[in-house]
Amino acid sequence: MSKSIWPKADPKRVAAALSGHGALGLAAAALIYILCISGVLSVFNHELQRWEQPGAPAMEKADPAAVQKAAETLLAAQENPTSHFYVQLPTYDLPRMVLTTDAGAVFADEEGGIAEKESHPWTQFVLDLHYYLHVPGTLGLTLVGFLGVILLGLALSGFLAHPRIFRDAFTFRFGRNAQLTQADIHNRLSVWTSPFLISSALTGAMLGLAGVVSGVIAAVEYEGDIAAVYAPVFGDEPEENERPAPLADIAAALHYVEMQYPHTDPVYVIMHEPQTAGQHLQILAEHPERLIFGDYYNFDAGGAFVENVGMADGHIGQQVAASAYRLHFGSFGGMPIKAAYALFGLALAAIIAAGMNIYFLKRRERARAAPRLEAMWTAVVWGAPAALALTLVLSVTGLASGRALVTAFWAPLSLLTLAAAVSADKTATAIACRVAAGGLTAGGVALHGLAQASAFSAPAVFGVNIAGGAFAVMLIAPDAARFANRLRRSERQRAPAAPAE
Amino acid sequence: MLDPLAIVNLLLLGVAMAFTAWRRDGPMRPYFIVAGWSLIASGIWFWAARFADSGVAIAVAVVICAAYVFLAYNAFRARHNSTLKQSRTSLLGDVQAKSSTKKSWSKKSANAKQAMQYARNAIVILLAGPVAGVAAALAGVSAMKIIRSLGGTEADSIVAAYMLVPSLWAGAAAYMTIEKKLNRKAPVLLSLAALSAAHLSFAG
Repeated sequence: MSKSIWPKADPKRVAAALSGHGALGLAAAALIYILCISGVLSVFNHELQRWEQPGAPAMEKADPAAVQKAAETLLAAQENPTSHFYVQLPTYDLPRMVLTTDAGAVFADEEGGIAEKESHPWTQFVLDLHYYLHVPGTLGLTLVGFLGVILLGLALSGFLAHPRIFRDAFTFRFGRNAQLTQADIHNRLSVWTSPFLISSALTGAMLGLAGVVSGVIAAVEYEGDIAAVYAPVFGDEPEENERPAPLADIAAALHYVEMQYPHTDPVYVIMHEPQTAGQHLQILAEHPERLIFGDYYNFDAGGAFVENVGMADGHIGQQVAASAYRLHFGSFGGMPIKAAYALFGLALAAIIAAGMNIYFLKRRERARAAPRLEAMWTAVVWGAPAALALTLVLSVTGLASGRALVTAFWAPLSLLTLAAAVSADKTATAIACRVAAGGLTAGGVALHGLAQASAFSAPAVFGVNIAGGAFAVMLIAPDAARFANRLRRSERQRAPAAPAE
Repeated sequence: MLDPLAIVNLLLLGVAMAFTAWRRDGPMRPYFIVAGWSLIASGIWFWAARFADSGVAIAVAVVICAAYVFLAYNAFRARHNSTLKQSRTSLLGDVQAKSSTKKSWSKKSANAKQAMQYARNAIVILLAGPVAGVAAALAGVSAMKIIRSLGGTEADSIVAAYMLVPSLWAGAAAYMTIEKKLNRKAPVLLSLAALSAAHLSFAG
């Protein structure tokens, strides 16, 4: 474009950084890509929960007396005592009250009556995919944390490999050279998305590796006691005392928080060891305009206020830790920020896909084309949405839930990747997967519409249906248009030339 | 205090000026660059002043979205101006796979080279993955102890370790893949791990 005002980078250093960037990317591209698309869906997990179960009792605000009544009713109906008890209070994006015990979760209505069981298998499946890649326990969480580390490393090596970051800030070259086009897509999106990319990677890695890091800290500093590591940051639990006692006064605690902390919005009631003398009541209240997920307001067994943990006004470390979750999931600025996060997540998926395309194009240039590997990568890029759409259909129709959904995602994705390797035809693989993804998404949305016809106009249901429909059209339309064009062209070629007048 | 819409406009104007600076050459270019980034920085500051920490994140999201708009505009223009009539999707196919060139070395030495390369890659994966992870964990926890010895609180030092471990691991993994010489990268990592372990054992 013009002369750069920035100092020139050492070409050897840039080449080495580029090589390292490629090596790191190749190592984990497919899994990071799957995390990206599951992350985009996870941003809307509350909307998806509402879509899956539109009939749950809706309310803008829960009356403290109704919360108390619902809690007492549910605990009285429990066959076995529960160790922990949660009440999720209505929020703007999830306007319903959910009570969770060790036995499961149920909705409550505005009067505090117990309603249907909570069931959102597909949303849970998507969240588990993003949190653990469906690898059970700490191992899955650690694997996802490690992928966050790799993404962070990619951002670092990417910056080192990109000496003309400001000079090329808006450069886009289409058509001159396929590699340049892909490089421009990869670099431009990477640079402008980097604040989101770095924050999401770091917070994701922090959340994923927290268990392992806490284990190391506990071993070094707290004689192996992991709870002692969490206590200075998130607060600790008082001593257990299993002597039976009446349920703590939840309503009074909610009233107290409302009166004493009017700038907060209570979103959760957490009871540790309920109905025992050692019970411990916490109200988690959001602080609007803050990144923190909220602060815990602690009450003793008798329902008297003790203290707040300090996530909002305590040590800087507590505030940073409390900000990681909302910064990662984009749940701090309402629907506009959620939409922006979805856009950034899709951009990150495009960055990864373009990065791999550059790799394959370079291989071709060096006479080391890898058509099978390329087709396999294409199967991951378009097959992952197709497999996700398949799980949607199976979940909506009630044919699968829980572990069956996990199998229904990974088995077809593996088969598609294998089939792509055998065929070595990336174009056919891409078209087949896109059509399958679009068709299955449209099918899932249509089947849900039929099953939940009465709730079709409910805002969350309508919004998800429209988004799903638009996604299906975006996937199918370009291939359909190309197919129609080809058909028209071949018909024109076959038709006899019109006689000259 | 500025209205949110005014702050959004400030940010948009900043990105627009950065875009203008990129598009147009001339003596005014540095001024546009400085003005553009100053507007973006002040927009972020105003939003932070109004909406605390979430304001910074919202302002950055606005900047990214605005940059996407200019990128999309530029991409559209570039595509429109492109003389090639091929569609975007077929662009990937236009680089013809070259016929494989004959290797100058014998098959045996080629296999040996390949085996060496695989072994080298395996060592790099080991260094960038588990070894870098262990080194980062030791260094992160060691940093936690240093923060405490300097008067930092328990909470701050623990969260610093939570942040440092993945950051150091990412940095180490990037370095392990960037640095070509195995005999240079391995000692760096092992020294970091050894020094951290020594500090932890001596600090008690």
